[in-house]
Amino acid sequence: MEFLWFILHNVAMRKANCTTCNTVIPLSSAYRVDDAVYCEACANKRFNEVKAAGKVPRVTTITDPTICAKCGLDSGNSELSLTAGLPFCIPCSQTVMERPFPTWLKGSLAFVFALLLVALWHGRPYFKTGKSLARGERLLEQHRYAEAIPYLQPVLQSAPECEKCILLLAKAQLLTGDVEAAQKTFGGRTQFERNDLSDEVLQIWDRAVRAIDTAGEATKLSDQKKDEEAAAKMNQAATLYPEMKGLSITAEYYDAAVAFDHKDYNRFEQIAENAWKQQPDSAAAVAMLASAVACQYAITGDSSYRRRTEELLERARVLAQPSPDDQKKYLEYVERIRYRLQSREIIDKDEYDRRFRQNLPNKGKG
Amino acid sequence: MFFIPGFVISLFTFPGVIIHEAAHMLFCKIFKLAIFDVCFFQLKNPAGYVIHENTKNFTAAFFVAMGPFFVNTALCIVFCSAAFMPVWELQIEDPLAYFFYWLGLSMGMHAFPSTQDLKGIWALAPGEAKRGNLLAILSYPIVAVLYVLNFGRIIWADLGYGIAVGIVAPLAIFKMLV
Repeated sequence: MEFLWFILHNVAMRKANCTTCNTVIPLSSAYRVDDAVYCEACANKRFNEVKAAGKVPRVTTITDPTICAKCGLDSGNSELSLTAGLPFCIPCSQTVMERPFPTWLKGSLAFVFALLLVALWHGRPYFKTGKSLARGERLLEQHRYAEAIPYLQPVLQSAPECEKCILLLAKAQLLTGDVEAAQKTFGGRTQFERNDLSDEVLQIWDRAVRAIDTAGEATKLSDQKKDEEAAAKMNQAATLYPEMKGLSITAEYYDAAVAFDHKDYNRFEQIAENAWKQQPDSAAAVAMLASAVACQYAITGDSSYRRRTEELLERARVLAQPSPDDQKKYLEYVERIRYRLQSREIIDKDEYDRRFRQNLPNKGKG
Repeated sequence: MFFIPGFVISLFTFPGVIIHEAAHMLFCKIFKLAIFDVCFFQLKNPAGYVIHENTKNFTAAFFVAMGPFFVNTALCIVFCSAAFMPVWELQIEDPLAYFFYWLGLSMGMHAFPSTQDLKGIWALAPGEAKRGNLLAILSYPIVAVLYVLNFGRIIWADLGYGIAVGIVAPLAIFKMLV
């Protein structure tokens, strides 16, 4: 039965004659080369001939409207309906028009979608860190260095190996004068990938280190009682690294010491007033001003200077209260300033110590 | 430029190939075009294909050809954006982030439509443009650029596109959101 069906269908299929060899071939296996019909072998031969002649042959396959283009089912003499221009049997027509996505692909796409959600969820903390980094960076661009630090610090905690983050935080710290914090941020690291940022930060770092070294030399000179050289060095350090306010304040104290040495009490008072304006809550600044005003009293005998000295000493006492160290210093200088008020004699700390505190090793000026 | 066999590249970026073909098929289904044969991935050239009915409908032809470009690019942007911060900005060694970045790059690398797909749009565009079809007019520069980039595949233009999309787009999104 099956054999009979096969014979019938093969008999029924459309045939064509090859233009060259005249062989009868099934239409569905024939080829058209430039409008002539060929069997496969002759089509290949013709194709090469046309190509050799320098032309581009047009080759098309020929469809037999009685044979399904997908499964090859022969429908005998009846032509199959065309789907997308090709003859298909009904099941194949349905397949090509409604081809479903394979199950494995649906599963894979669902997996990719799930991965997408995981990726976004996983990226959230990094996004937050990145946001903090961008804000810090923007504040740095606006020269708001102190404000940038709280944004950049958590970034470095999350990304300790991030060179850019290290450099940005160190830059913010250095430009607010906090060399110690910048050193901690570098964490002993000295090598960075060479770029504009690393060049800039390492230059600031170098400037800060040179200023601190110079300040160290100034301190040594001050210890050796070379007040003028010490003040010059400290001013040099303050100019080199103006971001570190401590250097310019110390330079003012050193300048005050030089003015005291030269008995230039007007200048001493002027410097002390200036220092107090800059640090109104510093017990040391108030004490220096009290010392300068007491010098003016000693020179002029004007009681208004004496009253102001007393007021300043009281303010210094209040300001020194929270710190045991400041309290200790207060007790040391209040005694000397009171002596200056009572005796109207201006002597430096060394002389005072020599006269009244022979057992106490101390250093200092007015 | 060093040579790496195409099948090796396809193997290492297979998710992009599968998504590319799935996008072709999706748009064929959306525009109700007959799909004669599909291969989502193979270690041969081409790495995947969708043989579908030709259409004279420009919109259908455009989206079937360009669908993978849009879908793969969008997925590349999302995956790379999620992994951009740890990989590029924060230098955090997070294997999961690197996995997502690879996934994004593989999508971006296979975003380009084939020359065959572009030829289809190119053939229909002049007639449609004459009729004032805005999509056809807009398609000219896109198709021209993609056509040139397709030739650039021999010098890794597809990888270059993936990396560019995987860096520039997340950066732009980030700058926009922050």
